[in-house]
Amino acid sequence: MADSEAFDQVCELLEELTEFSTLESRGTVRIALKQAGLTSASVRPSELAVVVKAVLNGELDSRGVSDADSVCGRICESLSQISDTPSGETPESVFSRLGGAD
Amino acid sequence: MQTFMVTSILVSTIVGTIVGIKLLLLASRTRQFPEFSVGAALFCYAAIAQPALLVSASLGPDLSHEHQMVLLAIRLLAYYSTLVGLSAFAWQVFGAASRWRKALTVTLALTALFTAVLSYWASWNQLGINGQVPLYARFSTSLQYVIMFAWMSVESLAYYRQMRKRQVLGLADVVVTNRFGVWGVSAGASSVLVLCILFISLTRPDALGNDPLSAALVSATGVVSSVGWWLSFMPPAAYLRWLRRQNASEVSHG
Repeated sequence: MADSEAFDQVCELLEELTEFSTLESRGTVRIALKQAGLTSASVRPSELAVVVKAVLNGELDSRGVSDADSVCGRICESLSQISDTPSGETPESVFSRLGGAD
Repeated sequence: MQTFMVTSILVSTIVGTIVGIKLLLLASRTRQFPEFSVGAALFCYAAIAQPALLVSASLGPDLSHEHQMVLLAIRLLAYYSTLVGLSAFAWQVFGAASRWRKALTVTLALTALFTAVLSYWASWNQLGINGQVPLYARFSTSLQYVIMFAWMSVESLAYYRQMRKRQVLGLADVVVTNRFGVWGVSAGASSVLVLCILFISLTRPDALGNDPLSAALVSATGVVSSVGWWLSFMPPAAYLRWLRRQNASEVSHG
């Protein structure tokens, strides 16, 4: 399954703003997504922004990135430029519908 | 124990029929496949197969062979539709593009069809006892249900784990997260209970439904399924309020 546009954009920017290689930046973002219970294929920009602030920041710190806060700030800024359209039918959207209005 | 068993069948009939109709009505509005498949599966099981089983069990010896065959055909068709509906639901919801899920669904559907035809043929030729489904056919049908429920349970519980992580970050709703958990646990319990019933039907075929243990297992299956359907798809307001209170307390305690 192809990765989402938001995921690709975050990885490219992370590679640009740090000394990470392509593999390292994609791997780091994937680890952050896994900790948040999300996947690279279906993650939405708004969800990724939350993950960047809450999880990726700490991951960058632990990997010796000195200005993790500013890197994450730049990434969130770029994510706000992508339209936050739902990524099609997901198990979550189906189960949400099946219970009716909660 | 027999009274408890009949009560549990009646409860699962009523709950399953109401939940099934609710989901079918939802499907008629949304025109989406998942609600249609799970709604149709619950309706076929609860509103058709279970009542046919009760009628067959209570009137069995008084019915003519032709009438028994009609009831058996209705039951087999309803059980088959339930199995196919639930398998298709799991396939479409957890990975419509996945090849192995498609292969598993098709395999279950084809083997279940073969078993249903075999059961009917054997009963028509009176190879079973009193129009009952022959033992070998019952074994195969039960095994298909064990596999389907186990698959559904593993998928739902794996997704539940993901949703719990999202919930911590405020990215998932507590009610929807809980729905995956309840559905997964009830499917898992159903799988284990059907496996136990299968074991009894193989080791002590005459005891099925007649001794306390097997009657308790059959009853428990009905109760567990009913609770699972009810809490997943028609959760009462008090339960939702309790879930939200639990979540708020978890958040406030970090």
